[in-house]
Amino acid sequence: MEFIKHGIDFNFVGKMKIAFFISLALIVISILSLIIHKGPNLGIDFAGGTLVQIKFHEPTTVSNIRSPLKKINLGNSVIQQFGYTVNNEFLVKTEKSSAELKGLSDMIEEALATAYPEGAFEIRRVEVVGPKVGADLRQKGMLAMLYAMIGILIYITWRFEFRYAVGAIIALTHDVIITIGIFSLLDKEFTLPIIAALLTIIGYSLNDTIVVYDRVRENSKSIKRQGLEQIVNSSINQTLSRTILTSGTTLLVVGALFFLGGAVIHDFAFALLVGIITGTYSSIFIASPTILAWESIKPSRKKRKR
Amino acid sequence: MSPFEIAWLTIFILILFAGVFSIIFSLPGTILIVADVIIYSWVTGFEKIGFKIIIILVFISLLAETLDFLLGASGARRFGPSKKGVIASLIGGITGAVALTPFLMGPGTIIGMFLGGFAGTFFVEYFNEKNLRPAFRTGYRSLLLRESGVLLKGFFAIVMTIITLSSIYS
Repeated sequence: MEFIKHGIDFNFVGKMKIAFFISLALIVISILSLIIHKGPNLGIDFAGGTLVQIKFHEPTTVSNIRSPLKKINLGNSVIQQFGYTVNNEFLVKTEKSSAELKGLSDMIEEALATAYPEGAFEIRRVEVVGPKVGADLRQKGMLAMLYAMIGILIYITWRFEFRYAVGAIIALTHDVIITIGIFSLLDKEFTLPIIAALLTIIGYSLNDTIVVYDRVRENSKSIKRQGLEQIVNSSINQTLSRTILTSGTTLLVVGALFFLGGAVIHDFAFALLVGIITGTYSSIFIASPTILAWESIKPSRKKRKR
Repeated sequence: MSPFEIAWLTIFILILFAGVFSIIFSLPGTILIVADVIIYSWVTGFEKIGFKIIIILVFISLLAETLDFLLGASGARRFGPSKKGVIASLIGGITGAVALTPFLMGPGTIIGMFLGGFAGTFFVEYFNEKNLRPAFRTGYRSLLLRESGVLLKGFFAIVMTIITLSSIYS
């Protein structure tokens, strides 16, 4: 499907410098925000916390429970339905530490008593929960990411060329840093679903980059008369229709999740929204120009004959 | 946990792994993973795996299958690996799982299994292709796109599996 008319020619490569400064600014802001906030705001999945299980005798909703609990300032808390709907059981997970364990359940009980009639609920259990993703797993996860990056580098070097691989890695890192940065700026919590979103963004951005690279490689074989700069530019233009269609439809789905998906899925959808926009942008303005920048610093050995 | 529950959990995890592994053969493995997770969480009353995780998995699965389809759609697709390819993938998968588990623990098993299996089939198919007469070759470009599709979808499937397993073991 041709979404954009054939033969259209935007000068993407010409805008490379502007894009470079925008990206650099965003990355600096992201890193500064992370430094100011003293690292990412880790949620209960990483830091651990306290879990309170409450049984209600009448049906109620998560938002009804949330509003009285807001007054006692539990910090970052997760309230979710537990088990089957007919049981009317809910879990409240907060990041408060175990030292305040007894006090915490009393506080929750008191707060709920203001909103619900007496005897409408009972606290079934209070316990300390360890982090889902402990320090060990976090460290291993970082290592796995590093290995994955090296793996991508090797694979793309083997299938394309080394400079392509560098471009892809820079684009991926760019997307992840900006998404983490925006999360840090807005002081949003890092939970397991956010990590899933970050990994999804990596996969998505890599896919987008490979599509453009594949076209660049094919064009640089068949069109020998043009310079690399023009080849990269026309390759971006040729894949533009496809890029817009893919990101457009994905954004439609993510947008629907973001606006209509409700509070539960909000942060996940938000991370993807940011990631897919930066991912699409980076494959056009970061990944491909990197090949050119590399070429100007160190021309490829197989110098193309004019 | 009763022995009965352990048996069910084992089957559930094995199907998850099968979902990841089937991607090596260009099958829609992420859908198998989602179906497996939905059945598991339905049976366990959505206690360990809530709707949130399910929505996230459905989303990643749809994205992975669509991207893989779009990547592969431009080149000729060949379905069904050869018998040699299947054997090579099994050997590669077991070797990879054993080799990577000590380094990355649980995730290492899944990643190793997938990468090993992928490498196994890839080399068999690659040399098979080389032995064919040029007219019968699928072509370098379509092989490359198919590979990229498989690797990307495998990446998504591994993410899905790790998210699922860390939700269960918490």
